[in-house]
Amino acid sequence: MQHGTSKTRIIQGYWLSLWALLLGLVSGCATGPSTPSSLELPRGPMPEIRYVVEAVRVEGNTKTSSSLIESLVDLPQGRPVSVQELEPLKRRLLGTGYFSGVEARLDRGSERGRVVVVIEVEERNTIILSDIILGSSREHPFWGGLDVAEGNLFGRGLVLGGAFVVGEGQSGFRGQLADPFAFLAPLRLSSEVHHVSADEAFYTRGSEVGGESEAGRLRSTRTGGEVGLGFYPLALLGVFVDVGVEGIEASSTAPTLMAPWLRDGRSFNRYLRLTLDHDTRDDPLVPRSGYRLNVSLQAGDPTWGSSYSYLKAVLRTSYYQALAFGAVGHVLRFDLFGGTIVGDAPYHERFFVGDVSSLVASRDLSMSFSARPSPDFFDRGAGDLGYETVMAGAGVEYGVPIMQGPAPFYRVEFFIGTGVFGMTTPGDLPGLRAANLGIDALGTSRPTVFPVDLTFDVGFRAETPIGVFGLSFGNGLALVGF
Amino acid sequence: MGLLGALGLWLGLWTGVASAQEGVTCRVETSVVRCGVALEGSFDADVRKRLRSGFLNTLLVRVYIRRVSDGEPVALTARRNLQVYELWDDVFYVYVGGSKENARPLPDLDSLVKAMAAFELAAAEGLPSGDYYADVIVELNPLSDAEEAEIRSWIARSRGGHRTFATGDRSFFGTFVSLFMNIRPGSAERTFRVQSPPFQVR
Repeated sequence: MQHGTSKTRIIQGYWLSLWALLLGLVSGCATGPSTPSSLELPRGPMPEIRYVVEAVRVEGNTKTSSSLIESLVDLPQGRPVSVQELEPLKRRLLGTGYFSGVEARLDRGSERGRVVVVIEVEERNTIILSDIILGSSREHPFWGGLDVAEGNLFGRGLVLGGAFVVGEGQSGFRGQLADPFAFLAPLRLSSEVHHVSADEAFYTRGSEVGGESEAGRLRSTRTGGEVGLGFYPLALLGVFVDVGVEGIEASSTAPTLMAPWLRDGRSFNRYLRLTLDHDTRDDPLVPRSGYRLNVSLQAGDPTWGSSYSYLKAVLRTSYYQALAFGAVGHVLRFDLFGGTIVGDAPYHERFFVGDVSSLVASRDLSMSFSARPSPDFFDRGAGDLGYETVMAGAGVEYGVPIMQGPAPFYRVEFFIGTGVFGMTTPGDLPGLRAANLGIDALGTSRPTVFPVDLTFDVGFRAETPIGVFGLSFGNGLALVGF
Repeated sequence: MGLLGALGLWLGLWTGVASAQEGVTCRVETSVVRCGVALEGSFDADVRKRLRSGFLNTLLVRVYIRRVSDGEPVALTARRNLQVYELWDDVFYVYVGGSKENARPLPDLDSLVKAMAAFELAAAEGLPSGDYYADVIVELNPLSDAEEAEIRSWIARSRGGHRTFATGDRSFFGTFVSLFMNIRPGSAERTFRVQSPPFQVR
């Protein structure tokens, strides 16, 4: 291809259809300022201008240390460099997430051919509110908490996160410290500690009192942590290895019934987890194309001191497809997920019905605060589902960005979605088990091998300077105390 | 322009796309649509500062020819201009997209701006009869898909998003989007947009 030749495309007849498809499917926004990826950057005609770096000067940073920025820039004194080689510098700094703006310029050095690289940064808020936990149920009139992370601790680029949740008889916290650019390499080191004091109800068959089943209690305290290492062998493919250990103290009002869930007394859950994450989505918040694939394998084994021997495999993928109509990016998202656990994993490692249904309150810090069952729209025994060892599902969501602009709302999206899921525990079918944990079920006694149910949600998501907030039908259900 | 087209334009303007003071005018000569673009006034002090930075700058110009009736694009012409300032010789090098020659040196910033911001190009040819207008979008240092992907991979590393599914305290529906939080790369350092008056193809 000849460098810089103007590209003129005339679209008539069937080409018009192709163009509409291209605009709709690739950019998803007919009037948006997206960059055609087919336009090659003509580098050949430009002269190669080379300098010698005399110094790097950082301006505008009040929090992030200059040494960290200089390390990320990686331009040691005396290094010869061309202007073409300097091109990725700004992108690399923006990619850290510490800055909302990065300007760079060259000033003359002390002698001809030498330059001072001046970097002006505008720091962004790096305290992120990851989650607001709020709910009410028959078992817990109120539970709430926060999940907050500081993404640039002491200006050193470290991530410090903390989360807590408090309810009646249950509480927990989690702390996290990570270095996303360890040794200034594409290497992530992370650590986490947690302490959970759980008091979950279980419901025994045939013990209904006044139309309601009687609840026993499974109490446990779990204290532990994880260390992890992650790296990116490819730009969009992350590989993560985590090693975790937690000590568990458990007791129950009916010790003979707790065997499937936890060891009575003291036990240990030690595990190794491998995760692959491949993400090709074109936009972080409201993707219009691309997919994300996440696969994890987790194993616990007595040979490394675990009281629980199990293998847990989870797969999830989401695929985004822009629709070829609409000027503001109507998007379909398709979800497919599945997982299985082989062995005797502790109950909090199992899949909970609230993990896969928007109509059941999800767990917070791995604790369930609501015993409301899945609605069982298909009358297939899904109302009996609680903590299970096999799950699979698929869903579709239709999303429309309805506004974008400056803070406090960078972008607001309306969404409506639905899905079908199924769960079970081989050898302990939900409708036949003697007691169910976490969900007030056992109403149908239906020996369905694989209960399935419908889930749906509709609402809004807003991206703000301090995090992403959602308001949906599913959120509302968690606030209704029944 | 259709309602959705107008809404898209409104959204674009609201997100910081600056309307240029100058204009674009188009005429039809023997079935070729020629558009003259003049954006020198949009090269304000901030842009001029960037052009003097000593770093390589890219100016991407896209000219859409759209139908007046529904705003749909029927043709696209695009070109990239490259520019760099050599601070020891105090000279600007500019390569104007479409030229067969290598970058040429220019002695001052005004000459550079004129070379990059005022031009005429053939925007379409052989259009069916009807009313059209030109929609010109100019981006300074736009991010390519590959560059944006590179930034996102860094952000993903810093946020540790791989654990979204393993912790068991997130629903499988509806939380896949919160991985990157509010940290998003911008599409370009500066963007200008200007539209021509309608013109007719007979």
